[in-house]
Amino acid sequence: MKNNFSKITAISFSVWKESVRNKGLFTLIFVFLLILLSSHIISAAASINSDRILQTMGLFVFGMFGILTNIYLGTSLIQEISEKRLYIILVRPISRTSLLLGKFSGTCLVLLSVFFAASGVWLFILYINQVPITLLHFLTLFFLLGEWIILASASLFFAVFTTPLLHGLFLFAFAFFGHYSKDLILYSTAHSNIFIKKTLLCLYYFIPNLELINFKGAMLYNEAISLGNIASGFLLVVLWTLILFTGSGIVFSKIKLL
Amino acid sequence: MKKLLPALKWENICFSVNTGFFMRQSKILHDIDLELHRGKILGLIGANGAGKTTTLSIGAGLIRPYQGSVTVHGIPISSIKIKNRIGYLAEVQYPFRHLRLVEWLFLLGKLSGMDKNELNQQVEKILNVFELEELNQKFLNILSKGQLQRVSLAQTLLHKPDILILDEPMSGLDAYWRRQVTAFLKRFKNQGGAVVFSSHVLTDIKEIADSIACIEKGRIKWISDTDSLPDSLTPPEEIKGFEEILFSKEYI
Repeated sequence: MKNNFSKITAISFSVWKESVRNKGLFTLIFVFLLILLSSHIISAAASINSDRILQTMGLFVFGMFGILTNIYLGTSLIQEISEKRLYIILVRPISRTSLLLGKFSGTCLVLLSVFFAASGVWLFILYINQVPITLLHFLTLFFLLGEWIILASASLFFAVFTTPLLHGLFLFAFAFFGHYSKDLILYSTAHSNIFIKKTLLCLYYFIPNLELINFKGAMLYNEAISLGNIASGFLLVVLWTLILFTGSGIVFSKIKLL
Repeated sequence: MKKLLPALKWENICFSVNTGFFMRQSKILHDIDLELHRGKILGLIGANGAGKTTTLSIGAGLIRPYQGSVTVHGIPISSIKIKNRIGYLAEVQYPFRHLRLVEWLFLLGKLSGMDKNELNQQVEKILNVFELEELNQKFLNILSKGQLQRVSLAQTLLHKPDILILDEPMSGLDAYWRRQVTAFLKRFKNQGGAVVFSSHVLTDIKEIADSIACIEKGRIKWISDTDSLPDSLTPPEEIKGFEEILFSKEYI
């Protein structure tokens, strides 16, 4: 058990080192920070509600970059599988699930690093624009990170069996429908065709309702968030991460690595 | 007297992949039966796409055959415990391009379950043997093909395995290192280790291997001792139609 844990952490730190030394990821972070900084300029040009513009734009950028960073990191796993680069690791006494766990925790470490850097910049921008920073800001950021983690597990799931292009498309669709999953229920009840009705309903159950962890509105309008909402949001992050990771583990243990 | 089990045994191995839109099954290996004994070197030869690499990958437990089994000293290859007895040299040598050489070796050592002290000593020795000390802080993606091949050979020996599975071990090596690796493999064999390797270079196989297996279209065509190689191994004197695809005669 202890031995297995040290193997997982060894892979995890290697993934982290590999990513932070990669110029591609730095370019992505640089663009991320540049857009965050540009929100400062755009909000300054607005005559009214400049605070809200600043915050909305910042959070939108966070959402987009969660998807893009995960697509970028997931693609590297696809390449490692398709180019048989994982052979040299899998020939060692390590199970495929442990390898995947190492990869996932490494990806989460990278996401944490990017997220903390970007959060720092964003909060600094809010501070110099004299926007009052409340607990709600931190709570919103915390659940945005939760969304990034769910996306990381979804990215891992898609990465073990698709191509880079499909992985990107699936992940984007996953995030998109995740934020509109309640609408799927609405469309389902409104539609008369039984096939479409059931398909939309299935889609609703197969995709997490990411709006449950979206507290941007509450943050912008300074509304209180109930403990129940926080707990259900936390549960959603944990459960969907577990479900998607287990799915990835099952698929990865079955696929032929040829 | 109790008979020694083969170090590595492929028994009735069949392997297929699903290809095309309708995922039709395409057989790559048919009924492969091979045995590798302690203190022996087995060479695999065959044309490109004959199935050498797949045979070696199955032998290393990386891919599962749909029929047949592979055993290491009588234990199924699927057992994780047995994996430390195998050193494997792959076609593609490293998954992490931005790791330093020494970090890469430490990662592989940790994955093999080596403790810190043992790993430190072994990495130092390995770097010394393969003359990689000066490169130990270099990133893997800037090393030359020959240097990477040496790194790859180094990692196969890191955890002190007694079976080596080497896919094209001489690929990219200069004359000096070819001699060094040849000498090393012979020494490994003399100490009781077992080696199976693939190569396109017949002279390498003749010099190193004790026996040779020829794979053709996924089947073992023949197995022979190195001393009694069949005549069919002499290369053809001319290749039909070769002149038709050459450059225009007007250029001459």
